Amino acid sequence: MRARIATTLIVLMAAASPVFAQAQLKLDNLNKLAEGAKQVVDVTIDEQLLQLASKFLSASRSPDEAQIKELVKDLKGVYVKRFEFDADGKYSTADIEPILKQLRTPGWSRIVGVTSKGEGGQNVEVFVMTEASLIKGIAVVAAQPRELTVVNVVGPIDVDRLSRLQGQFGIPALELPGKPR
Amino acid sequence: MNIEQELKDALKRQQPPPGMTERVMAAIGSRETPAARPSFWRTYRAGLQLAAAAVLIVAVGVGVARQREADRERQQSELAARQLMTALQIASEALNEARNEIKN
Repeated sequence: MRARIATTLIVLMAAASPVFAQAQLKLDNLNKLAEGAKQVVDVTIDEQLLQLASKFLSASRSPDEAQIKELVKDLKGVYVKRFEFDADGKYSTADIEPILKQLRTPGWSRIVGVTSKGEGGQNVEVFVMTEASLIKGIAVVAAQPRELTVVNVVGPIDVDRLSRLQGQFGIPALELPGKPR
Repeated sequence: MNIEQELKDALKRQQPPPGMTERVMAAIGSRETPAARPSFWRTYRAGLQLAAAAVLIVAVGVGVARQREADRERQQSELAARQLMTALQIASEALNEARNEIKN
């Protein structure tokens, strides 16, 4: 009986892991942009680090931390790359293309695509990977003339709750130049 | 002489020869007293002290090592939590940028 349960669990895990593996993007090609960037934020948090971070987040210290802990409890990874440049043209669409190519594979759906024209215009695209109406991962690619941000969250996440984090829960809104608030 | 008189003479109190007391006391003093059996604590005192010190050192060492490990893990957890906060902050901001662009 135990062997059967263990086998079932292994099969389920084996079946589930490729979905999360697909939801994780390869972002390494962006690393070359760091050389020309004024500021780089590169955060790679895999499942192990997420568990470690969750240990630190404590409901007794702050209810906000409890909410964040709840938000990330089932996540498999959070990967962020943000590059800020001091001039336009420090990166091209060719740099983003390998990522967009991954996001055009089956499983991913673009739910938001915004293209702003004119000075300071930006392109923002939001993709989700779903399976049986469950979100398995999200990706955000926000490109401005002097800034490029790529976010990849692997695992089930409540997008609304994630978007509400900014400026709340002790997470201040970023004060970046050229960003109207 | 009858037998009664003989007994009286034989049992008559007599003074000890001179120096008898000194010789007896000297004999008592020179006799070796049997050594008292040493206690367990006395026998193994040095060894026990050494063992106790070793146990104490090991216990303190293990305690310090555990404390350091706990500190190291707490620092790693805190660092990971900060990184997570930064990542969520940027993720949240990116989503809100998209939302704001749609509103505009």
